[in-house]
Amino acid sequence: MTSVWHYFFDHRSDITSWLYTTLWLGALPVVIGLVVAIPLGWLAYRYRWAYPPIVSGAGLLYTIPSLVLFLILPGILGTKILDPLNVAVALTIYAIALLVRVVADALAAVSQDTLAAATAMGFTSWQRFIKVQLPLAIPVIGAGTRVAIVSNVSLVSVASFIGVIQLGQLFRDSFNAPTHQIPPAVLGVILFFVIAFVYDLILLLAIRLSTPWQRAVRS
Amino acid sequence: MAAGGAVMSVVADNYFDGVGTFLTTSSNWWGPDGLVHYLRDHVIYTAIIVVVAALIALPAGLVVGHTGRGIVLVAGLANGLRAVPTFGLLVLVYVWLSPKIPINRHDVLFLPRGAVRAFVPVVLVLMLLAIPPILTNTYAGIQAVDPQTRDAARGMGMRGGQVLRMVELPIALPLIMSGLRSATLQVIATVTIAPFLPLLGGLGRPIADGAESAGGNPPMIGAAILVAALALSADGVLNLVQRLIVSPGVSGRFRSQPGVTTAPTVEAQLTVA
Amino acid sequence: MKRSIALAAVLAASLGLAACSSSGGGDNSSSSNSAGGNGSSSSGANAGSITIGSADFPESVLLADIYGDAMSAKGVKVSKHLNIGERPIYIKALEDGSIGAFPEYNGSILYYLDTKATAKSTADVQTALTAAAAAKNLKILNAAAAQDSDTITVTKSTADKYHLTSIGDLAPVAGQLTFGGPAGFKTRADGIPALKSIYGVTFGTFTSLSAGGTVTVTALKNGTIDAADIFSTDGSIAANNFVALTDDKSMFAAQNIVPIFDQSKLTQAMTDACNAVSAKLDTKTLADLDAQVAGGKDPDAVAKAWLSSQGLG
Repeated sequence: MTSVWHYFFDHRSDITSWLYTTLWLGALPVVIGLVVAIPLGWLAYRYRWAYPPIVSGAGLLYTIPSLVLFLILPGILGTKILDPLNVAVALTIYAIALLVRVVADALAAVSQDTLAAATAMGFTSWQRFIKVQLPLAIPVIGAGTRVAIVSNVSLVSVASFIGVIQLGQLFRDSFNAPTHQIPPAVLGVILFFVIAFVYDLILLLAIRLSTPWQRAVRS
Repeated sequence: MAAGGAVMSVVADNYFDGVGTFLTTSSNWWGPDGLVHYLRDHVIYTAIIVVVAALIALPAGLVVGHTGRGIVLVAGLANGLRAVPTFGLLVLVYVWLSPKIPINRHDVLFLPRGAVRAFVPVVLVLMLLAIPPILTNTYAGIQAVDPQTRDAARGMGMRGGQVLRMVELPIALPLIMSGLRSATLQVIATVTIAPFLPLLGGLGRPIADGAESAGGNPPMIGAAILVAALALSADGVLNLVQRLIVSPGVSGRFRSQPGVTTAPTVEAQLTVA
Repeated sequence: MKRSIALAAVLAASLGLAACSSSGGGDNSSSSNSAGGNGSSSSGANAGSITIGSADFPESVLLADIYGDAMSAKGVKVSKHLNIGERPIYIKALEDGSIGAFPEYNGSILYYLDTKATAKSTADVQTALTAAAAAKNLKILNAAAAQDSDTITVTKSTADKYHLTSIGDLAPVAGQLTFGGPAGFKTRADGIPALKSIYGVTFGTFTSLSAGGTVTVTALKNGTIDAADIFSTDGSIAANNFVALTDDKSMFAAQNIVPIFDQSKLTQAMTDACNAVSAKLDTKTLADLDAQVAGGKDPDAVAKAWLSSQGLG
């Protein structure tokens, strides 16, 4: 273990900058992905015939291998092949793919009785969605987002295809040495674990804060 | 049909340099290096991984959802390991574990000689991918069951296990199936890294090999299309399964009037704040 | 009301963290993507500017540092985009202008660009490569004497068991053995077909593995494969006591280091600087420099030290 600490200490400036890159490449695509997935998920929920194409279609995006995506995206986005934007877009696409189904199913899981009550109380459709249905769907959407963000963190290392270095480099450093060094790989596992833990905690907190009624009534 | 195929082939050719030709040449499909062989391996690997993951995640999710305890620990651990880059973790596990696994001197079922050593790490690492969606959806689904329904079941005299089996599980089934479908999708997409280990197959092989020559795009994109098609079919199959096993009373969630259903609700009461 | 404020606060905090991290962490480049030296501005009049790329293994980074620093010492404005993960990507980057130069291995890049090539010797490969590169508006400069070639490598115990010293010794036993090598090996003119025609060796099983990667070394070490293609300057051969069988009949194509350039960006200063480096870079030197990097030294420091010792930097 001391060798892990030594490795960290010796390379701390590199590792710190890799950490920053991993942190924001790990979070931002999921935030944007959620913003895009909510209207898409809503469409899939609201129009029953749209559910299969939207949900399956979004899911299919996840199956595009990242190397292939990096080769195709420049043609579609008009970017150069090494543009970091390609990474951000690719990761956002994967996040959307994971979140659309969750949003649709979460919205559908909200009790019709509740929605009916809201309409009876005078909420407009938009108000009902924002103030009633969406908040009630938060626990399930939140659970799905936790999976999505952790998924995304593990995918950040595909950025090395275009030379954007992040914490995945620790595994490369471990493997590139002739007799592969253990400390960088162990450090990598630890750091990724910690990032997932922290992001998970933040999301848990956000979910808790936004659903006080769940604790108000004990089952 | 044939004309449509020909048109699509020409379009695919122009947009994706040569993919159409690649996919329509039958020699690319058959034989030990053919797409069918890779497809078969891909399906088998995925099935094994998802089944093993479900065997772990389903009971865990059911217990945790029913009792409401232990979720932070269990979910946190699975989730955390999952954040490690899958490829890096796979190589790490392979380096560490493969010497300890006995080498199979003969073909074992679908695995050629010597491949067991590489297959076990693949299952272990990809299991980590499949467990979280199944686990989270299972416990979320169980927890989301209307407490009044649970109460009613107990009022009828059911004990804990019976409540779980006869009431909570059936009601949570849509969400559980959703988790299974999500897990299957992710595994299908990620099993493409398996062929980086020796002697394993799967649709990732044409993708890895395609990166080796400038003309390698057609096999890469062709395999990617097959992966997508496979995901679509798997999802379709699971959808069918879902329709069959989810009780009609529960699946009435898409109907405008609930009738006698107790669809999963995500809250107890609406309080006017 | 309160909970939406709380939720908004958490979201804002996380977006703020994200924004902070992205600006605090600087751009996506790591320390090795730093711009190269500046050279003296007056002599840099026609020296031009270039971005040199590298693949993401240490030798490639080292070579990019060497050629890059040599060029900047001659007044070229050099920036580096290192650690690009896959060949299709960096070749596309050369084509779309994102990078202007790349340190390549001539045999490798020839067979990548033209899978039907058959050239073997350095001279033949250079000729064929000049043509293949020109088709993509790329230009190669002089090749260095240094080669990082393919090998057929076995463990010491395998070599002892079957009395193997050269590739030809495999002929009687290869049918029971498994070989792991790059996918292209199966059809390349200097791969499996050459093994058969030149040495009469046909392996029992072939599995595609990236040449010399950790997986390959592990598989060789624990006996999953009996022979592997590991690059000759790779330290893992010595570190694991492997035996690289001698290629006495020259089956493998040459793999000299050669810088490849986007034709439109190439200037005389760059050509001169790179050719001067290539004239002094031989296999032993490359292996020594690789060993220093493997020992933990910064590739750029190793590059600069060697260049100044040769009067090139």
